[in-house]
Amino acid sequence: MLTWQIDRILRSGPLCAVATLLLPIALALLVNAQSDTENVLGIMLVASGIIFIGSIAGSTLTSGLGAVLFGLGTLVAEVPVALMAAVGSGLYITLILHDLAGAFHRGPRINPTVWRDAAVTTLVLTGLTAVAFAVTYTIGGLATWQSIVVPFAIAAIGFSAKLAADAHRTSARQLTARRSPQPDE
Amino acid sequence: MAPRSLTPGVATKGSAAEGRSEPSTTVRLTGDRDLSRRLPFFDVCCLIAVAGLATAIGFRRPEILALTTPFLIAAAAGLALWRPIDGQISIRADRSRILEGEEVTILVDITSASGIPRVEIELEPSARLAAVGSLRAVTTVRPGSTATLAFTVRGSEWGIARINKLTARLNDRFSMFGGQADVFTDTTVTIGLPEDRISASLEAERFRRIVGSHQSNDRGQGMEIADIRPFQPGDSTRNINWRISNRRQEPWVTLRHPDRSTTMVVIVDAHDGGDDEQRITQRRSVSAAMALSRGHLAMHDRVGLLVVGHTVQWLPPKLGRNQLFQIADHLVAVSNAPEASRRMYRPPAVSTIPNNAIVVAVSPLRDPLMVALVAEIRSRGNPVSVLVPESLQPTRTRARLRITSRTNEQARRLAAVEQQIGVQSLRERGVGIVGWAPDDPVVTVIDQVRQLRTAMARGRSW
Repeated sequence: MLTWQIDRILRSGPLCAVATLLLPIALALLVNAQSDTENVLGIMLVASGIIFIGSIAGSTLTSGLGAVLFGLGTLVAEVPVALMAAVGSGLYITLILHDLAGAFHRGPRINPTVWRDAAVTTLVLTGLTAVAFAVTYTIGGLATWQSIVVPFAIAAIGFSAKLAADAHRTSARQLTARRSPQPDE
Repeated sequence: MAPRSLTPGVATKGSAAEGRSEPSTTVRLTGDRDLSRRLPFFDVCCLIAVAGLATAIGFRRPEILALTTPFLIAAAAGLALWRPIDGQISIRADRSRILEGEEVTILVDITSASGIPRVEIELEPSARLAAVGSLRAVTTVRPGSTATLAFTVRGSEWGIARINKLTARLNDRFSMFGGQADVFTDTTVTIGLPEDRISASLEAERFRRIVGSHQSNDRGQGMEIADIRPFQPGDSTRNINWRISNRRQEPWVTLRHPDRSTTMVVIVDAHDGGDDEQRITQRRSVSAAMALSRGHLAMHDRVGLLVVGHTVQWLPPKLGRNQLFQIADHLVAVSNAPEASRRMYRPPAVSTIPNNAIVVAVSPLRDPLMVALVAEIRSRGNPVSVLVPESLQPTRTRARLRITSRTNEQARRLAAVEQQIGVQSLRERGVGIVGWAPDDPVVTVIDQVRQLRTAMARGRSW
């Protein structure tokens, strides 16, 4: 029965978009409850609205900027690390819901395996994230700050190089691609 | 609602709805670079991850990474687990022929050896097909399997309909890479006119009595042998069967069934169906032609079809059910006729119309060339009747009067006068013309035609 309810909810694009509003708001309330800083709630509510607008408009970039703003609000709130990790996972889930909202727009017929696979993938990824960050943060607490930063920095440099290479390859292909003639209707 | 499973053996109705599998259009997805592009979600994840790293390093606060680690790991996993999309999409209709108002199922098969985590399929049918439910579906293709999506559309208007385009959007598991492919298909569905509407609009058997009275236009006693008997006084010597007479050593005659079947040629004016008014007229013309053909073929008459206008099609008179299907196909093709610039109202087929054939033209007689064609056929000696489907007069509201320019109004009047001149010239040549108003019952029209032909016959006998 529960599966059926989840299925009904996730089969609707608008409902997914609403979820991208409600989930950040819930996170914002949670962060605000744990924070003594003023005006944090306002920042995060604005960020939630931006994410929601991005979901409705189908703009991933807008929702991403909303997520960045939400993260800044969380950073300003000075909350415990565990709550920050939860917020990070929540933001990622929000963006996944944003993606599903885009896929489910205009009421298509949806195979339940789509959202089931998405849910499994997201849960596995957030679980892995929590484990990875916990391990890294623990090691970092035991050792020095540089022991955490340096590996991430090296990974980031390599990652940036990979992105640049991909972008270059894509641009080169677009420039040299032969356009196949479109058949007449 | 989940995509419906494949349902073989869809129930069919009517003679034109015989189940026949349409050839499918198959498109290979393997190697399509448009399906391996970076999606915005990947860029956003990278942006957040890099921003988090930079902030953590810059402010020397590692807890910031707690916020951005999911995005970093998602981007890394998307890159690591990405595989080129392989597979193919095929689209087909479960039936190639339906009747207007019936539904046809468009089946889309997506096959992949390595699996596709998410596929969005969207169909774009032509205007003659109306969607029944959503024409979008999202599904997953497991590795080495085939996912079948069934979309139901309804034939909303007679003619040849097609699925213009199929759009496929494919994503990987993390929505990081994917793309969109537009498939232009050859899937066509022939939508015929429903049987009940045809019979309701024009009763073929009654109309047949008007145009031919079920009597052959040929002279003579027929061809089919009925019996033989000894010669009796009054028998024509032409009927003597010489072979049997020689064998029996006395004159015997052959009796034959009188030939009551006839040859009929239906001419359909496939004028432009640009606006709604013309499309309605075209539809009525086709309905009438189909009803006439069906009725006469059922009576073992030979029926031919000549479609003139912006397309020229000629079917020589033949008997049988197959001829009916041929006629139906040609009539349906009228709806998808090419440009009007190709119009040719003096087709070579006119000279091949048998001299003894009864010709019934269904035409609004708006074009002088069509009038000339009917006059020419009449001048060759064929009995010709013209059924003129009249169109609805538009309601002239004040706003419409303001919009309609004076020039257009004058052009309309000029065309009407020209049509009247053509009709009058045809009447003078002995062509029976009956207008078929949209609101008039067909019975009334048939009675008018009968009276007209009777009057014309009396005029000739005097």
